[in-house]
Amino acid sequence: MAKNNNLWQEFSKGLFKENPIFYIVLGLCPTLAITTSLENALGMSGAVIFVLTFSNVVISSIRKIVPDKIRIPCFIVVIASFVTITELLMQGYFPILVKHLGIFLPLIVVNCIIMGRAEAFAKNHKVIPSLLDGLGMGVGFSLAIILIAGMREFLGTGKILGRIVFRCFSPSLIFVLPPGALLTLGLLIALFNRIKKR
Amino acid sequence: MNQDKRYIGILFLICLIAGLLVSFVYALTHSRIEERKKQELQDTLRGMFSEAARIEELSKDELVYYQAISDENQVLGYILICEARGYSSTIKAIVSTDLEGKIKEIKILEQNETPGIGSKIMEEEFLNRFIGKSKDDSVDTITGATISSKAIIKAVKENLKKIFP
Amino acid sequence: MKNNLLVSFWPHIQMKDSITKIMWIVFLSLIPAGIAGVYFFGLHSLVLIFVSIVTAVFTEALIQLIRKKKITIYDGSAALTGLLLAYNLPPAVPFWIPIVGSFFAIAIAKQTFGGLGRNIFNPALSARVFLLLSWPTYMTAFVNPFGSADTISSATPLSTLKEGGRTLSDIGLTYMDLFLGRRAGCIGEVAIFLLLLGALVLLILKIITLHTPLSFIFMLAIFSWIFDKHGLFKGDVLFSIMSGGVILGAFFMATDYVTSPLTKKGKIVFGIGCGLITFIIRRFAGYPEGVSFSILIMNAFVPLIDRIFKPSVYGKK
Repeated sequence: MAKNNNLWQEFSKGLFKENPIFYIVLGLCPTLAITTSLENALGMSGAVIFVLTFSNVVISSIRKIVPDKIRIPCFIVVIASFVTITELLMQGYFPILVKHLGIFLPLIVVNCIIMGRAEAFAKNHKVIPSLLDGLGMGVGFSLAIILIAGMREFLGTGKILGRIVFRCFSPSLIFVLPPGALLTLGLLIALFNRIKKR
Repeated sequence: MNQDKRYIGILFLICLIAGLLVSFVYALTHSRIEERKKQELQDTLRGMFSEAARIEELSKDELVYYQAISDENQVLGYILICEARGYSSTIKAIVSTDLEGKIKEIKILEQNETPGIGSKIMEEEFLNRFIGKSKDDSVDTITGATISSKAIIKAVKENLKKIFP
Repeated sequence: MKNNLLVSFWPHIQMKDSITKIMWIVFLSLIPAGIAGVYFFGLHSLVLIFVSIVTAVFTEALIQLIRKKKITIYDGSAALTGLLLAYNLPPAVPFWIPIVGSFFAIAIAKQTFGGLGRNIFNPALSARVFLLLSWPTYMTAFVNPFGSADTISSATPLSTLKEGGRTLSDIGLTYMDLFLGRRAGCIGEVAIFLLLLGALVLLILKIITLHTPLSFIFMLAIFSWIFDKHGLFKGDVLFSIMSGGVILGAFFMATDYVTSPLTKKGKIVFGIGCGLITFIIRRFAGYPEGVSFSILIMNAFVPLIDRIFKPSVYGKK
């Protein structure tokens, strides 16, 4: 029972308590760049959850072979080749997925969450907890970018998923422009830290 | 010293395995991907000329374009793919013309412009402005999305000029 | 151990006058230019100014209430922000624009940083840029003086010149028109004469100094003169100063105590930076006017400028 509880915690901590965007503040480049529409955010979410979970598993399973001093280049090679393989397989066998995730997959290699979790968790934990950690962090990241992208798309274009919600308001273009990304993210980080302090 | 050699060895091994794996998957999927891309291209081309029996590839000054041919072996029109550097991405559009070079239809294949601003180039209202125009006619840009719309208009015109001098 | 040292936020300037008195004097010195704006552009401008000030004061009170701080709406700083924002709006914008803008100015640009004295960026200008990026169609639609607000949409002298590259007389204006304010523009920026009068009062009362405004205007004039569109040394100096919002910006917003440097040398550097950036934006960037952007960009450099030009400590060299 206690063990199960621990495993649940490895998963759930990424959702809120250690949310990668709002509390750890990692992986901001994709967060700022792709949250211009909800559709983009959903695509990125799928790709990150997938890659993060499996790169955590791979790194956790080779953690005993890799010496500490050269771990960073090893991790990078592992993550990059993993992403490339995933992309190739998707292009070959799941062309529909590529249409939605296509441009985000190569971007994920440089997402610091992947490297961050490899460094902070997978390299000194067993495979199963690492898998759950990756899954939890991935879902936490997804929830955060979906929230940001939803707000930006709605405020900036008056649409949700490309459909007009309200006709009688003049959308504030700044929210789909880069400054809007920083504004939204900053205010949300402030809000979430306020919630956590309570 | 020995330690260093061990590190080099391990790193080499990991890179080797990773490299082998990637090339293996590449070899496995390469032909499928190419075939799929060709199929996709054929589908898009056919989408522009549904009445054509077959579509042939042509080239002129390194510019690749296509001609649609009917059942009676008559040329129906031409299809060309234009690429333009927009505001934040490369915009790819496909254009079909009649024999004289008048635009019949234009579709945006790929774009990643600012949603709500540059992405207005996807809207019918803008694309319809092209229909019936040929290489020397002017097409109005979109207010607020000048860079994106200008880029695509320029690219279409330049390609038309190359094919119909 | 209990820390008994009291650290207060800047401005740490020693003065006889209180912040409250200064704010209201600045407010009053701006009134004539506003009256001129209303005279030129009609009663809608008065509504905009009024709505802007009321929203700013209300937002300040609301946020201080939520944060359980002392309510300081009587110190005039929120009212001044609202007034300055309205002066930076085109006269034909819908009435909700100043509401959103004033809310942004006080809630985001001022109170999230901690309130008066702690904001990095000038709240009124931050709000103006926010509005400009959000609703570019409203924020770039100007009207001619004495024209009806909903029919005539006209470009400002600066934007006409940016697009066409013509000279002043082609637009049908004289330097006197610019000086008195008979041109299209933002509500409070057109009446150069009355703005200068207000600035003179502030100078006499020693509320502002000449360092920032002079270096700002001088820098802009020199560069506009030398590097003109039509060739070297062909620029129209008077036009570059009197069109757009330079006078309003240089005398009333670049001199804001909170967001400008403390020392004289620092103020000069600040002004030079503003003038240079304004010139670059006018000449090379997509916007016809760059005063708000330049002041905001230089606001970000203020801590750095203050560090370089630290006031010397008494007893040291």
